[in-house]
Order: sequence, then C-alpha cells, then structure tokens
Amino acid sequence: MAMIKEVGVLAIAAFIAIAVIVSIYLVKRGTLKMEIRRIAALDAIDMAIGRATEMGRPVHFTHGTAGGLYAGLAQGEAGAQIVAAMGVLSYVSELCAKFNVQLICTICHAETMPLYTDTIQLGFLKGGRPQLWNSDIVRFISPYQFAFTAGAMATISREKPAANFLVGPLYAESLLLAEVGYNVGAIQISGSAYTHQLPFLVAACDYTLIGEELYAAGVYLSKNPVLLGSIGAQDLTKILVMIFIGAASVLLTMGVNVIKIMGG
Amino acid sequence: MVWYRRELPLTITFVLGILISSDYFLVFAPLQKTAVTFNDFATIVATFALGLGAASLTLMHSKKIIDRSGEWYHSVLLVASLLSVVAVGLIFGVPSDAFQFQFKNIYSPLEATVFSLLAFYLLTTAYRALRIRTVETTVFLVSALAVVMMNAPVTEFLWGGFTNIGSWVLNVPNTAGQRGILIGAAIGAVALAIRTILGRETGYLGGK
Repeated sequence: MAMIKEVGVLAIAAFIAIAVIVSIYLVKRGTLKMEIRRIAALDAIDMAIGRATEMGRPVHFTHGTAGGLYAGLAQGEAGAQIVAAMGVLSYVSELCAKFNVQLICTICHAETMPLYTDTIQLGFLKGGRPQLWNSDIVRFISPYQFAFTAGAMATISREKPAANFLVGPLYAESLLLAEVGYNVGAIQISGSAYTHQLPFLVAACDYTLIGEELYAAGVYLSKNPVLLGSIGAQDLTKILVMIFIGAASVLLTMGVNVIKIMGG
Repeated sequence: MVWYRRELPLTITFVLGILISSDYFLVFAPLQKTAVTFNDFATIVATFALGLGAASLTLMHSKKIIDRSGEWYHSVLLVASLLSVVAVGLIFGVPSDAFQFQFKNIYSPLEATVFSLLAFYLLTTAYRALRIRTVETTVFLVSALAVVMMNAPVTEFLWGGFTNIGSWVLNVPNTAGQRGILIGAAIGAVALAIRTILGRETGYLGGK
C-alpha cells in the first residue's frame, strides 16, 4: 500500500503543475494573453555575438562545476540549472552558426558532453551552418573544480573570446572565470540560481540572469507565445506565496504559528 | 527529423520524470526499488561519460601535439600527467601511497593556488563594482562598507555601533533579498521541471 509523504511540498508542486498546464492551455486557446518583461541579459546575447562577429574572435560558454561528480545531472538543483543553461546555449550556438563565429565550450561534468554536443549540433543546423561542428568545440577539462577552473581560465586567456557566457550552477569558479573574461575584454553574460555566487557575477559581469530569470531563459529565447503561459503560472504562484508569507507574519505577530500548525 | 532524435528522449524524460518525482512523494517499496535502480543507471552512464571525456581530452591534446599547433608543449604535460595518474592507479591501486602522493603533493597545492587567486580577484572586482555611478552602486558601496566595518577588528575598538549596522545590513535587507531570489528560483525550477517532463522545454534538444 502506497503512502503519501511530504504533503505540503506535494500540494505546492501540484498547484504549480496545474497552473502551468492550465496557463499553457488558455494561452494556446487564445483566452489568455501573456507578455513577458524584457530581460536585459537575454536581449544582450545578440549584441554579444554581434560583437564577436565584428571582432573576429570566438565565444566561450560554460555552466560551471556545481553538482559534483556523478551528481551533475542525476540529482540536485544543479541539474535543473544545467538544463536551463542548455536553452541559452541552444540560442547562442544558433547565432554563432548564423554569423559564422567560433564557439568554445568548457565543461566539468563529463556526462554533459553528449548534451552539449547535441544542443550545439542542432543549434548549428538551425543557424544554417551544420558544417561548423567539430569535436574541438566542447572541451572536457576535469571533473575536479579547480583543475577545471585553471583549464577554463587558460582557455579564456589563450582564445581571447569576445563574449563570455557563464550560465548555470556556478560555484567559487564564477569570479575567477569572470575576472579572466574581463581581462581579455570580453562582454560577459552570466546567470545562476545560487544566491551565494550572484554578488560575484553581478559585480564582475556586464549582464546577469538572477535566479528565476535563468529558468525562464529557454522560454524567453524560444519566443514561443504558448510557453509564456508557464511564466504567468510562476508569477501567480509567487503572488500566492507572498500573500501566505504576509498573512503568516501577521498571524505570528498575533501569537499564531501557522508553520507549526502545518507541521513545519 | 528521425523519431529517436526527439520523440525517444522526450518519452524517456516523461516516464523517468514521473517515476523519480513519485518516489519522492510516495512510500511504496517497488517504486523505491525501481527509482534506486534508475539512479544507479545514471551513475553508470556518468562513469562511462567520464571515460568518454577522458578519451576526448586525450584525443584533442594528442592531435595538438602531432600538429605542433598552438602551445602544444602544454598538451604534452597534460597527456603525460593524465597517463601517469592512470598508470599509478592501475599498478599500485587508488589507496596506495604512490597514488595519494600525486594528490597530496601535486594536485592539492595546485588547487590551493588557483583558489587563492580569489582573494586578488575579489579586490579588483570590488574596486570596479564599488565605483559610484548610479544610485544602486551607491547603495552597494554603503552596504559593503557597513559589512567591512563590522568585520574589521579596529572598528569595534573605535565604535561598537558598526557591528550593529553591519549585522542589520546582513540580517535584514540582505536576507530578505536572498530569500526572495530563492523562492523565485525554487518556483522557477519546479515550473522548468514540469515543462521538461511534459516535453515543452526542449532547449536541451536544440529547441523546436
């Protein structure tokens, strides 16, 4: 006999799931119209690739090292950030193919190599230059954090990219890579959902995707109006969470601990 | 496009996504066993991928050495290091002194060296970020100064209030902002997972 656990989490996840499905359905039917605010970091991708085209220099992309050996995609929120980063890489590789710009990707998780390979090959195909693909584009450096960081820093220093993309679950390497990118004069677009790395990225990079913006990147860049419905569902959930936090704070001030009552 | 390039990965994502999510919420022995098996699969696939990565790394650098292209002598060092670690591991075993020597006396100091660069990069980044240009950078500078004053021992000697101001900046606006980002990111991650399971998020397959 199966028993349900983590009822609170399940209820929230189920609410978000239903809201996403209903929003997508309503937008598809035309009942609901969605617009998304401009996200500067994603709008700057075109400019960054354009700059690389004009300068005749390559574009560098990495998702960082978080997730650990064997856990990169298998588990943890790092996996979600890597999947979200692939949405950005897909668009970057399409633009690189369109403008005939060299793309270099450095990776720390070997298991992401097929993911990168497929995403870039399809991006090149969409950009009209599938022949640009070669096995030198995706460079596995090391599964160890600082061995990878040293290798990625050396790659950036040697290849001197005009645009440096640091998008995904970055750890302590974020600042090291961003500073080397700054030193070679690259325009830097970063993104992470890790709050402990965001200050470094905001300080060192030209544009940063903060938290949920990273997860919305795939939808934003796909320019698919139907998928925008899911962003609306996210916003609806956020409003409800804000109302809950406000109400719980008032009740706690009055001596009623809602979290305790809910079993937290 | 052939079906196995799109439909097959989407089907596998859907089935495994539902299965692994259900394992988190349900206490059901057969489901738990299946989920553990699939997690083991993931570990095995990742281990093979590590071999693939090492092979790709060796091939790429061997090609560089053969062509004498770029800074090929660095590639010689890399391939030699890679082969020596593998050879020592295979001959003497991972727990052996010879294998551990490489980690303790070569890799660890090198790792610490790269990590220590952070201190210098923090300084240069802080210098660039804290130049007053807009209202936001001014707030950034004032907050940073408050935290620096809180942590510097001499300021405690001069005026105890620095500790209170720094603590307030860290515990109130900083924590509130961080929690806001965390809640937004968590909701975004769940929405991304649902889009991925439903086959709507296809960025990792090169988009539509």
